[in-house]
This record gives sequence, C-alpha cells and structure tokens, in this order.
Amino acid sequence: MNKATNKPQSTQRWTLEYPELGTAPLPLDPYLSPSYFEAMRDKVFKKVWLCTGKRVEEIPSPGDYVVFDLELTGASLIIVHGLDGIIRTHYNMCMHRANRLVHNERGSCKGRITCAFHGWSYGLDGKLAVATEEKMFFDLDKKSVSLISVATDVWNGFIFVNLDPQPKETLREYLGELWDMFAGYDFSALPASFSYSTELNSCWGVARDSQLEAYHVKYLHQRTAPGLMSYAEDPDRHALYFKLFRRHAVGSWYGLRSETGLPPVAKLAAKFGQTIGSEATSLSDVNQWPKALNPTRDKNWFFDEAYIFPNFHIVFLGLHAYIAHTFLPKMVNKSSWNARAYMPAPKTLVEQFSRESAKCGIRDLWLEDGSTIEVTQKNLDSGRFPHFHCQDQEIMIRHAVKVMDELIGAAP
Amino acid sequence: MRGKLLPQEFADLQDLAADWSLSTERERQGKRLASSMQELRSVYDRLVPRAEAILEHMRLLEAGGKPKTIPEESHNLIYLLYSLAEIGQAIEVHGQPEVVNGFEAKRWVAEHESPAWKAFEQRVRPTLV
Ligand code: FES
Ligand SMILES: [Fe+2]
Repeated sequence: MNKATNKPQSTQRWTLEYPELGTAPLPLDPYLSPSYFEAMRDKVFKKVWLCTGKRVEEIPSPGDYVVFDLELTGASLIIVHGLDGIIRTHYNMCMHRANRLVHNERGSCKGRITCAFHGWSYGLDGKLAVATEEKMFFDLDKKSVSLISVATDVWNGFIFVNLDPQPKETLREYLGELWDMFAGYDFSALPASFSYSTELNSCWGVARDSQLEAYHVKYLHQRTAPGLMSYAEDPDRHALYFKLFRRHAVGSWYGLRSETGLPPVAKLAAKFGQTIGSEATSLSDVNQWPKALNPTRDKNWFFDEAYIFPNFHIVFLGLHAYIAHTFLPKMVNKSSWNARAYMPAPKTLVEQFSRESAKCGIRDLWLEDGSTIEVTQKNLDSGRFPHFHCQDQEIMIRHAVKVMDELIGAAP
Repeated sequence: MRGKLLPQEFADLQDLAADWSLSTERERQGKRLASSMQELRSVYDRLVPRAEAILEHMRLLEAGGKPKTIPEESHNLIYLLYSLAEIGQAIEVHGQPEVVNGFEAKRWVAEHESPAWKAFEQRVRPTLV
C-alpha cells in the first residue's frame, strides 16, 4: 500500500495495488443494458444507504422539510425535522388514497402534514392525527395508520435514506472507514452557497463518471482551471493519492494554483474570498488540517474527492470550501445531477461580490463538465463504441463499476 | 419614471445601468450570453478600472456597521459589478460569450434563485443584496 505522506513514485500505479480490479477496458453493459439498470435499481438503489444531498442545516426547526425524489423507484420522500428534534423521512404519500402530500421542494409545516385532497392530517412522526369525517368510514383504525417511513440517518450533517424496509446495515456500517475519516472537518460551518440542478439525457453511469476522475481537468477545464495540473517532474500525473474501500473511495490531486497568474476580475474576486483561483493551502496551515484532507500534505494541492457509493461525491477545495455532487438515475438513459458549493457565508458586501464571481467561475466549469455527458450517451447509442479505456488515474471509476457488479451479482 | 440610477460619483457609468444593473444571476448571465464580444469588451474595459472604486463604495456602506437597508442607487451599482463577474468569464476565461462547447446554460437551473431557497436564506442568513 502506498504511504500517505509522500508524493507517488513515477512508477507507481495505484490500479496494480488492487489486483482484483484488473486493467482491462470497461464493458458497456453497466451503462447501456436495461436489465443491468433494473438490477441496479432493485439490488442497489432500493437496498443501500443513499445520500440525499440534503443537509440538516436546511431543516433547522421542527416542521421544516425538504423533498427528495428518487424517481427510479417512483419514491417521493419528505424529510422532516420532528417536534422531538428527530429527522424522519416519509413517503410523500397520503394513506387515504395515495395523493402527494407536499408539492414544493422545501418549506415548513406547523407540526402537521395535511393532505389537500380530503384533509387527512399527520403528525411529523407520520402518525395519522385527523381523518376528516372519520365516522363515515367503516373499519378505519386511526391508530394503526401512519405514513410509510424510510430509514434515515445522518453523517457529518448529510442526510441519508435507505429504502429497504429492513436495512441490512446501519449507515455507520455502510460507510465503514469513511465514518470518522473526516472528523475535524467543519461541514456545519459551511452553508450551501449555490446549487444547480439538471436533468440529463444520459445514463447515470456516464454522468456519475464525469465527476469520478480528474484526468480531464487539465484538458476539459483548461480555460476555467488553467495550466495548473501536473507535476513538473512527472507531467503525466495529477493524482497524489488514492485509497479504495469496500464500497467507497477517496483521492487527492495536485494543482499549482499559486503560480497561475489571474486576470483582473478573477484576481479582484480572489482577493476577498476563496474562488477557483485561490490557493487554499496558503489560507491555513495544511499540517493542521484533518488527516484525511490533503493526505500527502502537499503545498501544491488542488482538491480531494470522497466518493460515497453509489451517488454522492464530495470535492474538498480546502478547509473552508467543498462541493457536493448528487447523481441519480431515473431511467436507463435518463439521470439527474445536482451540484452544490458550500462555503462560509459572506460577511460583507465585498465578500459577497467575491462569492458572486466564484459562483460564475465554478458554474462555468460545471457547464464544461456537462458538455461531455449527453454527447457521450449519443455515441454509446450508436452501437459502434466498443468499451471504455481506463487509465490509472481513473481508478475510482474502475472501482465503482466493480462494486456495482458485485452488488448486483453480475458476472465479472 | 427615470431608469436605474447610480450613485452620483458613478455618473460616468450611468448609461450601463439600464442594461447591466440586473438583480438576478439568471438575468446577468442571460445578458452576457445575448451580447456580442464587442459589447462585452467595451463594458469590461469601462468597468475594470472602476471596480476598486465600486468595492470602496460597498465598504463605505458598511463602515458604520451593518446598514438596515441599501439605497436603490447603490444596489444598482453592486449589480453592475456583479455583471462584471459574468462579463469577466467571457473575456478572461472563454474568449466568447458562452462556455466553449458548454452544456446548455438554460438547463443548468440555479436552485439558489428559487423562491423557496431565497426565503430560506432570508430566514437563516439575511443578506442585504
Ligand atoms: S388522499 Fe389524502 S386525504 Fe384523501
Ligand atoms: Fe470537471
């Protein structure tokens, strides 16, 4: 296993440290096959813990809720902060005749969730409180009726759900080594600063893979993240570190942010807050960072990524900035993508301008990422593309595909 | 009814306010994407030398602590600077108004501009702009 505190040797290949991964090109079944998609839905998305991409800070008070739609399973879920402080998740589904309960993506209900159809009303714990015209029903045992709840747990403020009525593992077991790996990283101090969503005409795998390697950064993002991504002494390499777990994976990447000359507007913005051009390692002492963050302690560090299988990616841009991507499948060739940036709330108008500028920069970088996804799908649909070639620094993709294969019991 | 006024000391930029003092990201981005590089360049060349002065204006607004409100004219000025953040992307990064080969901007929907998100922000972290 590689040492966490050194730059990689130029001969090092992480993939070879995990011989079970092999080095062959990746077949397309996981991306294109309808039966693979169904197996993924039934054996993975309905069974494992899924990060909703929502955070506890979004529902700070009793009655606050957010809606999480998991369209591939048909589930619309209400995640609600209970009067007892507990965060619960219920199907967004009235137990009278299955109407949808809340229609907005977020909001606050005062202690009750009420159905607009015939006025049935539920406590935040899901118990039926009021069945209107109750006497007119025949065998309704109000006490036995409640919303259908979904297992819910929280890791570092991120809300996870598990659609399995009897989850096989706790969230802690599911996350394994990741559970306390980022202890000391103050997620809760960094509010969601901006957030974009889109629906993609592409399979989930192609969308997900677009944020699962950083090989592309030097090329696709040559404009938005210019000229800063390879060791002088080892120009073909951008990665500092990888570690693969049973399901999840982490990686760390190099970046010469300090040496890139910024043009006027970008420079102005970087002066008053963290932007894509800021040198995060100069903002605080890297040796004081949580061990998992920038594990090689490189001064020329760009970012780390933690991939929480199957659908959640955290990209750490520093001690005080991170990005979270949530990718969800919908159909075999449709998926959704939410990208959010979390940073300290600006304290002054000037910082707010800097944030606005950072937002434009990161948003445009994401538009570059998005440029590859649907056209790749079209090419796959042509039937002429044989398989994906996957280099060493794309190891997280190779790993994710293997984990999925194993979970659905697909032949290797 | 006059258009969008800027503070007196920024009278030299007044003619830009109608087109570029836009209060939402969607509008500013839309204006950037609908402009030619020539237009963007001329606005950029006028705003860059004034950017420090605009930032100083923003500092002065908060010099005596957080103000309760911001005058309309100052708001317009701040939005003008926000537009420079958009225009800067076109001039300094992409060399054209839109992201090169980029994903369709209209389909990249800003959740932070939705009424529900904004209402939540104002509840937990009231901002002035
Ligand atoms: S379906 Fe909800 S009250 Fe009838
Ligand atoms: Fe990217």
